Amino acid sequence: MRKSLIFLLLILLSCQKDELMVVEPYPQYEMIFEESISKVVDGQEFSFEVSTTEEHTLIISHENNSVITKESFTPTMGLNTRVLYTKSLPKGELNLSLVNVGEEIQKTTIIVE
Amino acid sequence: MKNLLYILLLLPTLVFGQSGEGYINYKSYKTHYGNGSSSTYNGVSYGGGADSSAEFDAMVDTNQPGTTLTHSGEVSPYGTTGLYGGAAPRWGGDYYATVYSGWFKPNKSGTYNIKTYADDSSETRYREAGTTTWQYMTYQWGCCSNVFGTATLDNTKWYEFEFRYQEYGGANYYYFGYSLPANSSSPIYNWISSNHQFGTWTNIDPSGTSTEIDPEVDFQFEFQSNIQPEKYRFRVYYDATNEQDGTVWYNTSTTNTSYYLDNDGTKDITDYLNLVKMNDGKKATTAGGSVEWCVVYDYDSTNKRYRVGIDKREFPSGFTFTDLKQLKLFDLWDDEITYMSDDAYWANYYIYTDTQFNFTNSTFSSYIRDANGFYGMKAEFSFEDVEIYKGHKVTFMSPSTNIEGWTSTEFIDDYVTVADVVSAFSELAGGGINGGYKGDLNGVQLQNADVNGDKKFDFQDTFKLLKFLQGEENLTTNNSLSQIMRPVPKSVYDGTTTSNWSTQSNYSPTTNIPFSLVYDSIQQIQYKVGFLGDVNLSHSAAQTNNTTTSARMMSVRNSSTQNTTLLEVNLDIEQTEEHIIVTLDLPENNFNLVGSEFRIGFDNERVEYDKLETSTTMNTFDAKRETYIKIGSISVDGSMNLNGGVQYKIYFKPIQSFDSTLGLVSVKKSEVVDKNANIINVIIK
Repeated sequence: MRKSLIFLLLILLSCQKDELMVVEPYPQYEMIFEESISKVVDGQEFSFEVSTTEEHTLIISHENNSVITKESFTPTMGLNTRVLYTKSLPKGELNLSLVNVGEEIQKTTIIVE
Repeated sequence: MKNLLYILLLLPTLVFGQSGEGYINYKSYKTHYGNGSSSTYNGVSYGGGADSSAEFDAMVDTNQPGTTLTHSGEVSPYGTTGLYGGAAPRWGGDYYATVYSGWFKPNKSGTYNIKTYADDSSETRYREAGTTTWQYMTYQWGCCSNVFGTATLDNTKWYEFEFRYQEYGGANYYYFGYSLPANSSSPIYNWISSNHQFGTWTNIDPSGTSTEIDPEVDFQFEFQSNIQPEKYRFRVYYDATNEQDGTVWYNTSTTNTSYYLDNDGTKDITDYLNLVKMNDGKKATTAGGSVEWCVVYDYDSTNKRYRVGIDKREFPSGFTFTDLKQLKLFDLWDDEITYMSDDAYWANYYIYTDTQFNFTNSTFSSYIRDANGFYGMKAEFSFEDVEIYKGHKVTFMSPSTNIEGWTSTEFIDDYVTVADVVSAFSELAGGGINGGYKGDLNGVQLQNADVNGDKKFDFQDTFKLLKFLQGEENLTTNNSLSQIMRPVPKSVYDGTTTSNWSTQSNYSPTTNIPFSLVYDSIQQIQYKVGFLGDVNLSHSAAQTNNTTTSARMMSVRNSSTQNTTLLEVNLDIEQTEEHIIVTLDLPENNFNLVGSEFRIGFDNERVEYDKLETSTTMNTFDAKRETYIKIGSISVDGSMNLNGGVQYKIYFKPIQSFDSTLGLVSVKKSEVVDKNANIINVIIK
């Protein structure tokens, strides 16, 4: 009898509706300057933090520091997200740096494949 | 197309060595055009099954339009591909002939009884090594029964053999059988096999007189150091025509394979050759005799030749006199001859030579009679086939499949830059009012500068270069690799000077490099590669022992306006409501720059080129390509310069809206050049 009650209880429990945990995904930011080197793809978003809202410039250059392309923008305080287009860039390892008022404040290496 | 498919699918790689004992050679021919049709060459015809030895000869004569040598190599005599079946590699099951050849030494001496069985006609013949007359063990004209014969042989001697059969249609086979001399009165036949070998078989001349070794071919292509040879692919072709006139070429690979050069530009292509030989007429050889079958008329000093008459009775029956192309006449001559004429009694040929024969001191002088106007020669003639390798060529392919994004136009953009155009104009203008050249360019540079190929370097060429730079014209009809690549034998390339540049061989650009195979040789074929329009040799091989500097880089220090060895060009990229604007600011300087060129790449799926604005009054250009734009300025006469600096604003229109623009446009290349065509280093800031 006791076994039957336990069995019945197990059946009842097993028939309850599953309680699904819905987890809101955190926004995923590619904090590109936190990596020393990373592969990039066309149209990739990447993020970084800045501490002022002065105009900043992202610069992509060769190893000899000759500039290939750049983009100037006015950031928001804290986290900023930009997009990188690679179709016109040369293949291989390139420098990506973040400059504020002529001073390089972040730098990393990107690999364009 | 059908022929090509046939060759690609059915022609094997025809490269074999000769292994010696235990092997015999074979050659397989497609006959009757492959469809049963009769064939005629020089009045000699064959059709259907061979009805005579002469018709069989015609059937395996590759001069016949209906006959093509398709396979050759070696097989074991004991197996089905050999003399027990006759199934050597061949093009198909009908309309073919197979010829086995080599040497044998029988196991026993005495009279062998021979039995053969073939479909269709067959000849089983042999001769003692060193003799010229075939003896027949068996033969059969038509099909297809056991045929019997005898052969009296000496087991201490080698015999040359040629067993051949041909197939017109239906069943096809050849079997060789024998009975030992001990059983000659009551033959006991066995078909040849590894248990009944008959004797020793070999495909290497046991007399040791045949030292013929197939050639080895090593190519070496020397490119400029910034070219990657291993990205260049090529195919190997052979001349498939009987006339060897270069009108039809087939890939030596049945699978149309292509090959890459090695990193250093070399390649051993021996394994890719077609070593099947073809008949190229006959050669006559003379020995001293007792009858004057030959006359040599006195030397014709005007035409630098001898006329030679050979009595027609010395020729085999049915001989085609025009086929005689070489003659070994005692110790006087051993080379090519030219057919002149023949009548009822004599066949006449010319020997062209600058050097007259020394009849008196010939070791055969006792066979030579000076008859005052001609020489009578007591000569006996023998004739043999002359076999040659087919012509070959290497053909380069576009590297577009090996180098991502490679196009010939972009490649030309790489090496025909503002520096080349300035250099070309400078060379012409430097001659002064009396014309002539300045003298900066060497012979190869002048060849490269002659872009219209008329063997004159003049303002037609410089303006063609200018129009290409400006994007107004192609450099060639369609800018293909075959129209710009100039492979030149190394010795010729290095020997090209300002005096002989317009008369040198290999002048026209091409991707084809023909070459001939030479018996028993290791051929090291060296080429240097230049490119049409590459005036400053930035991408063409340098000449050995030539001091002209290619793509001269300037290292002077500019002390006043820019105190640096580099010219810093400022880049700015901004986004407005309508445009993405690339601004290049070339600062004031004292380099006396007469040319500038910048290549601005753009993402052609997201933006499009709109316009160029500039601050200079110098002639400015913008040449639009698919994924980049070439912009810059040039003063072809050097009357203007960019010492005051210049600004270029390149406008692109977005095809869609953007919050970010990073990477949509880029500076891919930059070049500035002074009036002496020196390139000044540029860095973009």
